[in-house]
Amino acid sequence: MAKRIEVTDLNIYYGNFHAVQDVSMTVQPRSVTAFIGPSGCGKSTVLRTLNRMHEVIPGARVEGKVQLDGIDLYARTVDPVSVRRMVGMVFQRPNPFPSMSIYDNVVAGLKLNGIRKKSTLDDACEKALKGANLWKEVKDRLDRAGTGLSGGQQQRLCIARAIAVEPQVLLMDEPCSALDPISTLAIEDLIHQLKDDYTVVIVTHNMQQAARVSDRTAFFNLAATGKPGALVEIGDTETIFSNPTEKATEDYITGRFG
Amino acid sequence: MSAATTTKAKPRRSELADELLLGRPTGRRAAVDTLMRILVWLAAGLALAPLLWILVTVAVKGAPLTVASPPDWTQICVDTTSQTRATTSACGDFGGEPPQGYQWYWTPGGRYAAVGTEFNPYGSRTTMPTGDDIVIMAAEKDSGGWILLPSLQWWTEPLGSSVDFSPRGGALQAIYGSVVITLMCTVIAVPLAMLAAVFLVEYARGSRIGRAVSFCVDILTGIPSIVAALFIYALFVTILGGQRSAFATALALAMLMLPTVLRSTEEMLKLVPDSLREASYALGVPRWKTILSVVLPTARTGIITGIILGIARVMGETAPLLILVGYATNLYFDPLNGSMGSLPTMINAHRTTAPQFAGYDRVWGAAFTLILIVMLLNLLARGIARVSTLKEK
Amino acid sequence: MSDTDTSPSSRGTTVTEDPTSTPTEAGEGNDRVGLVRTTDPTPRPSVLAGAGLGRGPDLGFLASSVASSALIVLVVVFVGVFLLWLAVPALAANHANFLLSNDWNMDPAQLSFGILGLLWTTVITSVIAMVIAVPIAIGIALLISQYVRPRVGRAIGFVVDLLAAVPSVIFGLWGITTFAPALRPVSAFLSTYLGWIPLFSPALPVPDGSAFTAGIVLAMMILPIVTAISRDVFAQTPREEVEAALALGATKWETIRLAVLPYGRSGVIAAAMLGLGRALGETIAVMIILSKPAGGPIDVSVFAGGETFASTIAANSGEFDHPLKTGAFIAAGLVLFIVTFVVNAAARVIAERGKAKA
Repeated sequence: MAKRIEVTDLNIYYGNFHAVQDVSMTVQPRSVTAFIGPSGCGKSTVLRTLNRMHEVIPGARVEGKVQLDGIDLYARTVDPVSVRRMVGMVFQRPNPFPSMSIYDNVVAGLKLNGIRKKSTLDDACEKALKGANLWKEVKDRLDRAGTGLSGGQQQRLCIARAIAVEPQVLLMDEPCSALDPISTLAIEDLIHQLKDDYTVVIVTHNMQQAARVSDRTAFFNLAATGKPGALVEIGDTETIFSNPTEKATEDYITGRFG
Repeated sequence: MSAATTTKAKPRRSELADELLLGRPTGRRAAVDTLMRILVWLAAGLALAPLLWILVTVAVKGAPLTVASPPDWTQICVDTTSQTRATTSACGDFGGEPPQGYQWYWTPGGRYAAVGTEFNPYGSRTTMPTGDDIVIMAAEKDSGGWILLPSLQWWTEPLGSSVDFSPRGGALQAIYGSVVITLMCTVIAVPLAMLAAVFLVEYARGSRIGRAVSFCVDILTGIPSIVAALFIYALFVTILGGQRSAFATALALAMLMLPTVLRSTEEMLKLVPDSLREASYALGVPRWKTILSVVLPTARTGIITGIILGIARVMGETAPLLILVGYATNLYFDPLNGSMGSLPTMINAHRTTAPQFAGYDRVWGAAFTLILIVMLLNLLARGIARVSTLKEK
Repeated sequence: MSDTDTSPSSRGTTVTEDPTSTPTEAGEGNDRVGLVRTTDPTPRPSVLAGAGLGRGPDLGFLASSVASSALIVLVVVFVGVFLLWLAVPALAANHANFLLSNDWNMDPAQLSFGILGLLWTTVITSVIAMVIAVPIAIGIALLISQYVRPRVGRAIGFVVDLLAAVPSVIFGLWGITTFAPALRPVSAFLSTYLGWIPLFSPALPVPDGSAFTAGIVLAMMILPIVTAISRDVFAQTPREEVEAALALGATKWETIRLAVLPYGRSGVIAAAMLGLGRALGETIAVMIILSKPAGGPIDVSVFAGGETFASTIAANSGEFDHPLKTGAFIAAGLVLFIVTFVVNAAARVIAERGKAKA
């Protein structure tokens, strides 16, 4: 569990449009890295290349390398489906499968991988829900529809679903932006716990959240409108927020733009 | 949660690491995925094959007659010696035999053309009739089919008094009738269906009234066309004293069209997310306007599909036409009174014709015309939908 | 601007920072790119009712939609009454058991008619049609919306829609003249190897006018409806749900199974019911294809001829001179009526039961 991610000279294109240029970074295992930056600068785009989700959009392609503990995710022999098994994702808006119960949602990924034994599934479900701090609230209604929960609960359900398959890395794309502050706090606490077992990369619009939650922070920005997004600076969270190297970073942190 | 507890020996761990190296998902899942892909393509092939077969059959047999026609043979009077067309009043004595194996005939526009053997509905002849004013000559259907000359007769002339073996006459009355009847039916059925669908989805979703209405629509779905026709006959003609007419037929056809349009509209409306409605209400837009300007346009594609499907079905229905409007070969315009031609009844009237007569071709020509009209409507509707959708790039 | 912005307007759209949000590969039917479903798809009456009924146009609109629905209900009721009114006298005068016998004696003095044979033929042709058409239609719909590029999908869909335009008479004609002979080897094969099952035993000397042929032709007739509606429904699957499945590492088929099919379930069932309705009520094509049975005991083979409710009414519509005779045929129509709504009611129950409780 918990692998290191190395990104080398990553360039992302949508058709002819150059979306993100020359990103290079290393994400240490068992850490939380936050991607921050203004809207439209490529944070989510880069995040999605880490599990090859950008390929859902026709015409999307990357140049460069993304390596998980040394294995290049974009090697020709690598199947995107396997990559997504290894690298889980939680989305901005909670998206539990509406036709399934809470239990079925959590074990969906496990069932896909052929695990059928009820006892194994039950254990895994309990573990995942406990890991997502949702167990106590739903343990008596596992057979109810996933969509009957509140927003915060649904998001934790999605997290449970993601960690049930024990991925190497967990990607989170603005997981709290659709939630109220109490749920947000709950998720942030959860991220602190998840850090012990997973490598977490989280995209967030909320700088304070980044400061609260992450070990390292990466700041993305657009050089100018119409130019590709780029990684401006990456470093320890404390440093970035108190003593950033780049001026753009400082301007963003202090709220001069963004 | 320490790392130790989570690395309880799960044998699949190393398997998955290998998976990433090899890049192939576990055999079974890949196999299932591929199998499904094959099945889906197979389904398409299986369905498209007979489909294309029918379409090609109809096109091949029916298209020629719509753009061309056998020459008009009842107006020909030819001096076979000089191979010139004689004026009608000068028809009369023809000396001699026609040149062996050839017949000359007059074509619109003044060209002559040569044909295979002589065809004569009154029996075969080897000599030209003498003393007749009109010489009956026609292009016989040889193995290649009718000799055809470009002409829009199909579209511009009604069938009139042409008989089965006469190549003269077109399908104008049938085309007109079909279009008019279908138009009336659509105007009746579509607003009703859409309003009722709106009721079911926007106002009465989940309520008992909604379920009752839905149930009734289900029943309406299964009514055979003949029963719908008999019902309208009994209600409109017998009891209410209306006339057998195009309008009566439109009523019966509307009964058949309504469920299709209603159900597709309903399903599409159900798929429109509530967040859209909320957004509209939050802007202070009243409910009816939300439905008209926000919800319905969002569901537009599916609704159009339903309407086109309904039209397609209804244009091809025969039984209600036979019972409620009869079959006419002349062009009538009155939709409220009297018979009118239509394409399906035209098909029905000629369907027992033997292949060597023009009537046989008319059957397929009418079928082709029907498909063509629906296809054009489809293109038109989709075109309008596309043009009015905002471009995204 | 970088603060948690939870105002409804920003929540109501997809990731605004992604400069290249584009339609999903799932198909081009998604007019709503950029707007995704809220978390709760089950109707919440508060939302819908909460908009309130204003004055004037709002009430007018509501009134017209209520009126349309009421009209539909009225029509259905009237049709029921009509059928009953014609059928009851005939049923009363019936000497034979209506439901269980296969007689058909139209002499008004000794009226005896039973619809068992009709029921069987109607059911078997419709069942064959559904069994063939629905899976294929779902397959094509999936192909169009999930597997091929939008343009190719539109082309295929267009061709399928064309098939809906072929008039039923032509299906009948084509069926009996071109298709049935081509089907003979298949019928022969089936009746040879499966002939020990009564369902497949050889019946007609030349199986052209069999229920088998009619069923397959019916399948072709209902295919466009089921396909068209299914494909529209599948194309509307929200991108979120597809992504949720993909992010779990699902293969294409698994994504379809997890996200697309459950989402489209209600629509597909509605489409299938429309198809079934068409199959049950199809008149002319069946009339042309099926060869009339000799009467007597019913042959349960699919290779036998027969008549359906609809085709028998149509074929005999010239003989509606005596009210009792008319009534006999209409009684047959009444049974069809009942069969249709039993099946539809069953389908609705199945559709409802499939949803997990909230």
